[in-house]
Amino acid sequence: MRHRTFVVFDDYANTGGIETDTRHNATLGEYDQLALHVVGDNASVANVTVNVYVAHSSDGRQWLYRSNNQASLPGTADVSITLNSTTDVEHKMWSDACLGSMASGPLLSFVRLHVVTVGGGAHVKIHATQRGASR
Amino acid sequence: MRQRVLRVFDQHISAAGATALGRAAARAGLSTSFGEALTDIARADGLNGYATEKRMGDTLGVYDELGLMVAVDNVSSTSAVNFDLWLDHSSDGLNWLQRSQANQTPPFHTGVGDVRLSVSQFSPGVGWYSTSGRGRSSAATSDATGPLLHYVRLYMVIASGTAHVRVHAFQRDRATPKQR
Repeated sequence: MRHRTFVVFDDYANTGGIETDTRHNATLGEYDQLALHVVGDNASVANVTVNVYVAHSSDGRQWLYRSNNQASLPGTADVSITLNSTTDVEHKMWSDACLGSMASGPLLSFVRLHVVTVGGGAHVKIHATQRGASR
Repeated sequence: MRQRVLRVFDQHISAAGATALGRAAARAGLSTSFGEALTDIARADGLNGYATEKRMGDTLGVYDELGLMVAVDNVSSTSAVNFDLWLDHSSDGLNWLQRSQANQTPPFHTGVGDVRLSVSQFSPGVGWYSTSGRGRSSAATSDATGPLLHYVRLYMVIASGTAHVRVHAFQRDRATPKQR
């Protein structure tokens, strides 16, 4: 069942990239199923792309991107939205029941999101919804 | 295990949407009890659709597995018309995505719905849909079977005329052995 929904990121992101706050790392990894809803607006210029990548770790120190199982950024983001103008608002989601193996398997203990933009900056808000077996 | 069965929608709908039956029903006090005609969505996607009530959004999203049984009767059209139902979800109740559209790019609610029924005055329809939410949803991989976001709503359109629609939702969940 659904256990928790919370805002995990609500900030201005830019081309340098930024991670979600460390206080969310343990929280994001708590339940088996994870869903993310990414809303982007307030782009600094037209055609800004917002990319969000899911990374996980067992020690909270060394991180692997989940979709490529490497420490280096995957070629394709887990969520990617393009803001066509400075007044555009776009949103997309990503969710995984994590029942497969490796890139679709169970999450490691800690989870964080890497948010990076291409072509300019933008305001990004990310909601996380966590699901799992009933208690 | 089965957690809950709900009647989530029980209302006449019209191809003319909010401008006809919806507002009349609202004036009669029916809209707040049974359903809601969404004028903003009708404008946004060019369809005259109806959605389940806002207060249902939180309830429909509580459990991981969702089943729907849709019954359409009292159809005004004597010839067969399409009734379509889509499942939408959202984390903020403001920005909604059609769950079955893998690329997550508007326009939504076009083509065949998650439930499509061909109905007429002489041929009412019953349909069914369910999802376990045990896959993955990602525009990057064109998957649309992952866990639901926090809020869930059902969006319905009839191609022509009017009809009465009733939707029951069945919610299931994987419970821990201790709970059983």
